[in-house]
Amino acid sequence: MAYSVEISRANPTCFVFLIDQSTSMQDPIAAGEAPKRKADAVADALNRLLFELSVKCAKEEGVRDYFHVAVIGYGSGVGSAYGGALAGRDLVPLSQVADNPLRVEERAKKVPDGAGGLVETTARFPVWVDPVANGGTPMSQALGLAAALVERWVGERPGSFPPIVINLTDGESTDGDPSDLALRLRSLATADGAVLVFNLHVSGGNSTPVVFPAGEAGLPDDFARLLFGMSSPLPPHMRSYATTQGIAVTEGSRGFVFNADITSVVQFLDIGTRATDLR
Amino acid sequence: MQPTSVEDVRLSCAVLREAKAGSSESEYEDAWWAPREPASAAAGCTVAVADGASESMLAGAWAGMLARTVGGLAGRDLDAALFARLICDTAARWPRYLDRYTRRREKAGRPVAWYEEPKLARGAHATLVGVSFRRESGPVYSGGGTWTAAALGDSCAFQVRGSRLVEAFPLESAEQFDTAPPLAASRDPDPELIELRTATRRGTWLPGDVFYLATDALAQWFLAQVGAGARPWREIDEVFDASAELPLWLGELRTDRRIRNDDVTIVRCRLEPT
Repeated sequence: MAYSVEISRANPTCFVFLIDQSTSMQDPIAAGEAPKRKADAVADALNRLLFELSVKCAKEEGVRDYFHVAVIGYGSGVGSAYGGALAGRDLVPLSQVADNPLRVEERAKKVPDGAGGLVETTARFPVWVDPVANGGTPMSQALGLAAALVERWVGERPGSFPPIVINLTDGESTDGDPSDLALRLRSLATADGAVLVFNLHVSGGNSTPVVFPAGEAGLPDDFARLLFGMSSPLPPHMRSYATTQGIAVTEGSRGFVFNADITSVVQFLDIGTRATDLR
Repeated sequence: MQPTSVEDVRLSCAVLREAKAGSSESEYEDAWWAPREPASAAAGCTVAVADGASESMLAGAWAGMLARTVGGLAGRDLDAALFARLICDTAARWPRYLDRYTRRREKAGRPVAWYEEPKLARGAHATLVGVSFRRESGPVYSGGGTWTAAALGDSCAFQVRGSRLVEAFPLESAEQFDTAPPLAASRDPDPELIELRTATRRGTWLPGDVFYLATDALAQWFLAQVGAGARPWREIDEVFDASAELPLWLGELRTDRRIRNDDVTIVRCRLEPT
């Protein structure tokens, strides 16, 4: 059965995140919300993904290297978006990612007070990537770089859980139709299945958020339809887990999210018994 | 048939345990509680196995606390309400444990990192199964007695009599296992919900019966074997009789992907007439 191999330190898999840093990311995201630029939205989404991934793999001795992670920015150039101690690197073991954010911020957070109300407290939140909006949108070039990294990975670790590529963008590619490159990525595979390509589409349109749709109907524009077409169908075990989380999915659901939270993807991956409270 | 009088029956327990392949010994997160020396069934005893969830932090410590608490019942009948109360009582002691742990880390110059904070706040999680044994009461003891069991999640107990599997509890087939079993949580446990999700069973035992308590990977393999018409306890008994062979035996099962790569714990409890 595909997508069933154990993800472990001895047999890790990899994530490649692609983050759109083009000028169009200066535009505001969906009207009606607190002012937020697309660049803020994707940087925030990426930092949250890395946060959730690190917390998921945290144990007493540190973060376990179940995953190796690359972050590729594309805008005025295409390359590693890591800064600080990780600057210039591509696939980095997760423990090193967790130990080397650019900075750790204190953020206000509301938590239950135990008496039915909420109380404000602070929580530490690491930042790996700051918002950037500069240059064109060389998405095809970024997908090509991702394909090179993934190709190397599947060559070195043919028995691993298939790599996952997550593209965070407004979809306005300026170096041609990226569909073929996405298809090339999805044609790469380990013995456990084909590489998974997911897309987070941030948009200024005032359309309803969409999460893991099964078809193009209801998608607001051509960019959304393009990114939907580039996205892999969710494997059955991911659909099954999404359902338990109250996310509506069907057999054809794809790894595409429009103006919504994509961090749930991290929880779709099994690294052992899940730590969930009784329901 | 006229009952035969026997003096007593002793519960004799032995344990086999092995960390997940690729993990160090300190990363083993199962736990058990069983009498170290053969115990009189007349006095009653309780045996427990717990399995810390891989995604939790301090899951092994939490599993250990749960197993000890249930083991402390010393033969008292288990039911869902009692099981829920025991889990909640144990959870009430968790903040103090966590506080000590945090201070230990600070003293060691390794304070809790940003990625540990949210995880520690989410609490630790574990599955848990307990079996209490009591001998029957009456003026003439003919051997045998009752057992009661409670479980939250997929750690299992099996009762074997001769060449026959008498009971499999709480799961009865290999297909029932997944990666999201019900778990006992150290944070904000809801006693009513735990009671609702706790499986219970009661039965009788005879001298010579053997009970096996096992964490999920071994239990799933056990039930798969039973489903295929095999008697997996024979294989387990061979390993118990030469415990040095456990890594070899498990290694083969893991290599052949007949068992999931996970911590493995088996407690064998033999009810032996004296």
